[in-house]
Amino acid sequence: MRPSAIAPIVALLALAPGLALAQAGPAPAAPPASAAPASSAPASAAPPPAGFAYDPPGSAHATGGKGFSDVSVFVPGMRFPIEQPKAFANSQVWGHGGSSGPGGGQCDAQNYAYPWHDNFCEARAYKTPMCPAGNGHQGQDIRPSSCVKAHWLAVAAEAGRITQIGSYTVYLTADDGRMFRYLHLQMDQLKVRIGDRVERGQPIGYVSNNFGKTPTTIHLHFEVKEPVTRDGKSLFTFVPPYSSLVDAYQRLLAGAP
Amino acid sequence: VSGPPPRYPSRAWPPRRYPLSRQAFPPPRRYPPPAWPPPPAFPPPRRYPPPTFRPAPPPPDPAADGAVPLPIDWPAARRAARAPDNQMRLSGAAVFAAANRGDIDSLYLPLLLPGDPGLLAGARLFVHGDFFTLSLTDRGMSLVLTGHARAFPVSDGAAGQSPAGGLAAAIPADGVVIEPGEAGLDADFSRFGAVYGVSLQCEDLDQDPRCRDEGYIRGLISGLTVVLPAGEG
Repeated sequence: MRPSAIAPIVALLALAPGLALAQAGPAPAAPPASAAPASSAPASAAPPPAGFAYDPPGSAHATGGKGFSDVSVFVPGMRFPIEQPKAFANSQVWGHGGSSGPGGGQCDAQNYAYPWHDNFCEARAYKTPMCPAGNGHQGQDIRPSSCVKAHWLAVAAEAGRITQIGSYTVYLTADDGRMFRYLHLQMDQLKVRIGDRVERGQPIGYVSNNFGKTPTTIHLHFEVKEPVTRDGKSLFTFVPPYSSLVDAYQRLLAGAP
Repeated sequence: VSGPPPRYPSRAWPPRRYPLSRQAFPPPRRYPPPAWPPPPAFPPPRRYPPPTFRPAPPPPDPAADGAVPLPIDWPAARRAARAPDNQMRLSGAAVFAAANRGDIDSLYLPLLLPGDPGLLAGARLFVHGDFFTLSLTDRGMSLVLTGHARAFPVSDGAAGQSPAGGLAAAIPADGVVIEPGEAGLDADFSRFGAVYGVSLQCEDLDQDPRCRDEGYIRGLISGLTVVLPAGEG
């Protein structure tokens, strides 16, 4: 959370304890507070949409890792990266149909149900400096509304420019310098090309299972990289997107994405 | 051949003396001066506008998005840019740098380019004042190189989540953080006070050594060409 945004958020929490949304899981935690600009703050303060529930940030539920439990909203005011609800943030590896999951297929109903699970710091070998273990998943997996590939649109989280399209990744460099990476889209049906200017919420492509030679489950792997600084050290690295996604999803559900 | 010089018949010697003629020579003919074309009229000296130096970067508004400027060590960047090895690489990047000179001059941080001129053939540069993104593809590999002259402060709460030692502990002695991931291989580092990142993704993630081993990306970073905006070089 940006220092400049801490004070108003603390005040907001103090004045509106009912802001907390329905949460699942045993560990009560402070809800992700909205650090969104004033224009979108009222949407965050709206009553929680019925039915939506999420595990606290950093919850180790079914991810096998020690999570990032701070409630910082790293991308205030971000547009939820899938156009329409519902969407389900959870693990592909530890969920049904995953290699470490309880069995079943990827379209199991439990994969398409709340609560959300944070899997930014899921147990992986990927170096992730912001995770307590130093390793993690570097992004958040999000299943679209239904288990159908190339049907649900991924959209721009912020206004910016499409700066690269890899084999299964679209790079969006936002006007504030953040880099959003969208993985596993249907690459032959993209809505953008390299160099395109996109506005916040503009369609980028369809959520799919593209992963090179071996398809993955139908989901969007969503990453945020940004330059961060602390104690005189600076690094361009992955930041936890979960709280920002919860905040953005609340606004989407409330009709003010 | 030695010996005395050959003797020639002396019949014509000494030369016959002729009386000087008393006839007056005509006066020397006076030629008009050559009709040289007039010297070209030099145009008046061209008046160049006074040099316009790029204005100092405007101080970012912390209230806008919370990011703070990173202090750029321009003297160090100049030394690196003028180093012989960089000058040699710079010649390979000359075409790209010339084609993008306007964009480069709008940057508030040193631009870094791959040292292999072949990589720059189809590269695209996107600039935004205090950050840039360079993207290219090469034989089944996509590359994104980005640099930033400002950064977002990490809050106390977020910093407390990092491994012991915080951000500093995550940065190894050589300053290059290698981040293999789902999409390929990333490497992030700081230079001249700015932060930079390289992201590689390969069509064949499992087999292409450029995305599998650290050697390629480390070599790419160590061989980057430093290009300075006008006014900073």
